[in-house]
Amino acid sequence: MRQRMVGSIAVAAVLAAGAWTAAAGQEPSAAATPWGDPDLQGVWEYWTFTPLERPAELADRDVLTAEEAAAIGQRLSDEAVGRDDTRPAAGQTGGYNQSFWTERSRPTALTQPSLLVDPPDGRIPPLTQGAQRRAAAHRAAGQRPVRLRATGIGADGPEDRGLAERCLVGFSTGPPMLPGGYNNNIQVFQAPGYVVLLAEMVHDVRVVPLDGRPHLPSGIRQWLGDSRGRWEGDTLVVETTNFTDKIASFSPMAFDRERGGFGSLALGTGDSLRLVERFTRVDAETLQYEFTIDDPVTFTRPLTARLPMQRSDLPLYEYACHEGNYGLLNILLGARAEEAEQAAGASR
Amino acid sequence: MHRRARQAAAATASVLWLGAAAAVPALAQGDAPRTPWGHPDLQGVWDHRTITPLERPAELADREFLTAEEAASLEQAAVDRAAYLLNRPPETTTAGGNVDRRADGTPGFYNDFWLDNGTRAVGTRRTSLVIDPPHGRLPALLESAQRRIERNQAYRREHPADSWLDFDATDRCLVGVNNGPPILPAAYNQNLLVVQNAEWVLLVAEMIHTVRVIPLDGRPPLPDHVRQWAGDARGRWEGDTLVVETSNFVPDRWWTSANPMGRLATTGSLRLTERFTRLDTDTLEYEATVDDPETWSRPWTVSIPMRRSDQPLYEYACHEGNYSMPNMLAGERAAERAAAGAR
Repeated sequence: MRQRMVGSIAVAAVLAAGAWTAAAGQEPSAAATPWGDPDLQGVWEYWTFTPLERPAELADRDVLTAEEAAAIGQRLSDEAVGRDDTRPAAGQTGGYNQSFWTERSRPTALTQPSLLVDPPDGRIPPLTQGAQRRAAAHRAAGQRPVRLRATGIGADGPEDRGLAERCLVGFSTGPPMLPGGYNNNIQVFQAPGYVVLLAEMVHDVRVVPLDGRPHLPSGIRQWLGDSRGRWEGDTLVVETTNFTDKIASFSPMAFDRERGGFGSLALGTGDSLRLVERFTRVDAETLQYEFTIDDPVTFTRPLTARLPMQRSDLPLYEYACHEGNYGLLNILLGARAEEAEQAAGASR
Repeated sequence: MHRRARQAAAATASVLWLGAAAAVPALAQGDAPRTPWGHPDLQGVWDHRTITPLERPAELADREFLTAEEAASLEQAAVDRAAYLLNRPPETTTAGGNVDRRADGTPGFYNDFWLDNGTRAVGTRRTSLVIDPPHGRLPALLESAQRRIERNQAYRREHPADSWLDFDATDRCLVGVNNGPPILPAAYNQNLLVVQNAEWVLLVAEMIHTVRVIPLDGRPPLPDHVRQWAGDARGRWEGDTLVVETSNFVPDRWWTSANPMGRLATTGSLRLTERFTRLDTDTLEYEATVDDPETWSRPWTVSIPMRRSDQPLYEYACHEGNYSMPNMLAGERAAERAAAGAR
């Protein structure tokens, strides 16, 4: 991660000259692969401060002016960088230095008030009664398996921690992709019959066949599901099923109505999810990304988010998740140390 | 995986040794399928399992090739062994302390259901995967490398499991045991998916779902200080062969203990040259030349003809549900406590 930012400055000039000359000076809508598919290839970057759900104060606004969006981005960036988690309050361990490790020094926000565009109010629709019952039963049973991406339910063992902390999946790469702390980059490759979506985070790759082959048998369940693609006009439509029930149907960072705070959510279970993603190259610099969570078992209606991705001239680098990362170990050790202290206090 | 291994074992058992006639590939390279833009078409899933050893066995010291009968007999032995292992009664372990143990006191290990080296020798019938040096074995180590390796080994003997950092990168789930790079057959999940277009080739390994992204546009390599486990690869076509040159590997790259290259831990000077040639519909010839001038007296080359597979890749889990690393560390701590208590 760190290398990406620092290294990228050094190599940007060199690489910019080589790889992307094909895109320059062409009418973008005409960009096509030699075999005639719309050309979506390149590195696409999707960081934005725009929240998943529409903030209450923008309830009556369907679109913001560019100035409003810029001001929101600047305010949220200033707040994040000003927080400086490297100097924590007493009793807190602190977190990432926001201006260095995360993307939050980049004041980017969209004119759409939320990433969610449907339902039209920009809010996550209510869960079905069945999903509410299952969520309550899951809580009562100790909340395992943990389907949260970030944070966790405790620190008895690694399996109490969220899936991204365990390096099983990225916290911003989904599927579906949603802006997160860092490495908000995918690289798209195309070949006749295939589209490949490579996420920088956790270097997860989805190889999406376009030949109309059926999905895997329903008994085979995967973290990233099983993706099939097709073209609808100039739009690549990727439909993904066969998600494991160890992952949530939708697990964004958003406002948690139960806890009354912003945090990592895990709604429903992936086994009933049909994810539909749409990629459209709207101009040379922009790949429009849209996804629909279609899970009638979990949600009372489908939800759709839209997120324009910006072309990047920088390459992806290797991503390290556990390597050199003592966060998970230290969380568990800290919990053991607290238990030992409490036990010592109780025995005195 | 599981299911596929079974199916594959059954399939190879019934279709034994079709390639006995060909010591040299039968098709000229021009017959290989081509992409619409004219490059040889390398796409698909390629299976690199083989029972042919990396280095030539001592008893075959003067033999570059097996006869068709010898190869068939080796393969039959592998089929018989697979059948025996599949059908023998399961090994049982008894609970003892923290570790279930077999009758001889050792903890259990994978049964043969998990391991999948196939039952086929390479189609060329070579006696080793190493084709250069011509004696089919790795070249001599430099004296300086020998000293380095002895130091490393001494340290590992003294510190077998102080921490997970004392395990190779495969045990730590950082790289795959059989896909390095280079690809060197081992264990299971020995499948490579190739996707290509005119500007890029992607090599997707099933093991640890590692993907290597190889640009073909002649761009310069990354700056020397950017070091990666999979290195930094650049590709080009030489005739009908895709040539991939990789540098910028991490130094002291102890990537696996399953082969000598991984065990020795190569240096930052390592350069890897891989050649992919589609010989015919069902064969992707893979050659890898390993050149680490701080380790070996000369470069060495392996040849692994990969076979086309009709099966898809599946998701791979490495740490997930795998308690070996904490158990190895906990076992070592328990042994230390026991030793301290005995004094």
